Amino acid sequence: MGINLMAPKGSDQNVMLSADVSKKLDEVKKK
Amino acid sequence: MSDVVLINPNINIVDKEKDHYSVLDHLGLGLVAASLERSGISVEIIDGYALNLSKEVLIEKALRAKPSFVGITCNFIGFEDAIDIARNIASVDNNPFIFMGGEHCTYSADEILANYHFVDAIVRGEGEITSVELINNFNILSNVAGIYYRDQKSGKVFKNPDRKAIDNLDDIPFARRDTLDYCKTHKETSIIGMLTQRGCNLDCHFCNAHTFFRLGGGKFIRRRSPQNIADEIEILHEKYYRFNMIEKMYFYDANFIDGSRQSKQWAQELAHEIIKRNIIIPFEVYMRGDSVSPEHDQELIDILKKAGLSSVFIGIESFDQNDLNVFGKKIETDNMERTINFLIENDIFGLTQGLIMFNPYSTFQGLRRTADFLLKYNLASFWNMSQKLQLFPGVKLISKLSSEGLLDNKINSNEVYSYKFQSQSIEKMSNYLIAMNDNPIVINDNAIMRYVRGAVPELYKSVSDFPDIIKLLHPINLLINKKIKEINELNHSYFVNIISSYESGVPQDKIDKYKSEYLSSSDKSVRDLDNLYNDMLRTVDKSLSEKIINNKVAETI
Repeated sequence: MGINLMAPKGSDQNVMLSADVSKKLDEVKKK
Repeated sequence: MSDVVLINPNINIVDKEKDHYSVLDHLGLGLVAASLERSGISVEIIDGYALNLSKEVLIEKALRAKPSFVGITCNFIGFEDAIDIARNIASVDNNPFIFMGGEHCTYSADEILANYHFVDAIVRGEGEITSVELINNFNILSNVAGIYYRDQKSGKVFKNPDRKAIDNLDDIPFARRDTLDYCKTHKETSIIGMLTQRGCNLDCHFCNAHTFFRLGGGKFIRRRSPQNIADEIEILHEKYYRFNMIEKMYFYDANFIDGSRQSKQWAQELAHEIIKRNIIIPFEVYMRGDSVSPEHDQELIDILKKAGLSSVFIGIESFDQNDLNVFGKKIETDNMERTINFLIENDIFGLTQGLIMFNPYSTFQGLRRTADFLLKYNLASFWNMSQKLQLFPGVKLISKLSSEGLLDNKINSNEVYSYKFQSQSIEKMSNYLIAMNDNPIVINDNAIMRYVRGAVPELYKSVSDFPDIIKLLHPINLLINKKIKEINELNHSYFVNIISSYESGVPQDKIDKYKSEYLSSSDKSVRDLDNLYNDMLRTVDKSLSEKIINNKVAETI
């Protein structure tokens, strides 16, 4: 068991952009 | 005010890595808390690790609850902090009764009670029933099976017989999920753990899974009924997953499918139950490298995937047969490779594997063999290639090493690296590489690499309804794959270079020079990879923005 079992979050730039993409994806899929 | 406070200390080593990883709840405390609560005992869980609490804050919170009992769990990394917390809590007036539990404390019970007078008892093995009995029979502890304790008057330590394994796991109440409740309030997400079965019918020499869950006897493997597991998942789905609070579930079972017909039938029934109730949450399982095979298990894997199986963690440990024999794995490399290929073809080979690159009997040839295997499967991360056997208290290898003079004399059970190697050169090399794991570049690279590898397929899945976007992603994906291969080659080449250096006795200053060159190249390559994934995200973002505008225009018309 070690730290590697944990799920990595990614860099700040990609975490933020990922959140934006998720929001837009929800909006497009609602249509 | 609570009758009991249960504590999981933070882990110092993780502090600097915390930003890179998601919240992870502590299943053991949640299970014990649920059992205590069912018996009418009020419990507060303070999970210093999940909530990233400092030791000082944690102690203050525990004392503020004015508990009569404090239970502390820890693994070897958090052991010193756990002891420090116990010492501080025990030093106040009307100090609470302090007990410790969990796997590490179970196998270090003698040592803890001998060295730390402020610890009153150790709960050994499964803690659900024992903790309740400990608290309800506080004045006559001699009758409580499954504990070692200190007599309050004489100070003498008594070792009660171990408790028989809980026969029917469905009788255990579902774990409390305080971390998820915290995440709900703070709009965070968490990874959660579950046990769908307990025990292991194998006895790998570096692991305690085959003894921990049946210290006092009982079945080797006990499984919860598929209905009982599905009942718990249904609650988690309803209460948290549909609010995006759960990223993923880890089934912590030592070996989710043990290869037997009974085990496979049970897994199939569980999958059917989850699908029938439509309560699918992505989950990861741990398995041996020969648990499933392409000849017999395609149907099983198909249905498990439909039920949410998203990845399989394989305990590879090594790809050198001599190492595997030292570990008592009872597995052959050919079978392991066949299983790995099968999981890769099914797109469920996990991002993380169990690796023990170095052990006291490692040879340069064996290290090369495992490194070459890791490169072949793009698994040649620095992390994987630097891992060293952790000698947990209670494992079989301890007596072997002791009889062969390879155990350090003053072994303290939380010092899991207190052993010698047969080859001094390999020992030096191993110590050199494991120390590099604390380097911020290595920590960052490891997290980014694993994140991108996991995120790309998820992004593809999320836009699977839009072929136009998928088409745009392909060229970037090719570049990402190329970069991942390059990083693996870089890591492998550094590792092989280090092997040759230690084998031929290259001076230390040259080895240090290789290190700084490697770290600088690795950092650059991983940044490139991160930027490529950023390109991919921006491409999706732009396409979606266009779709949103087009939809609005269409609505206006």
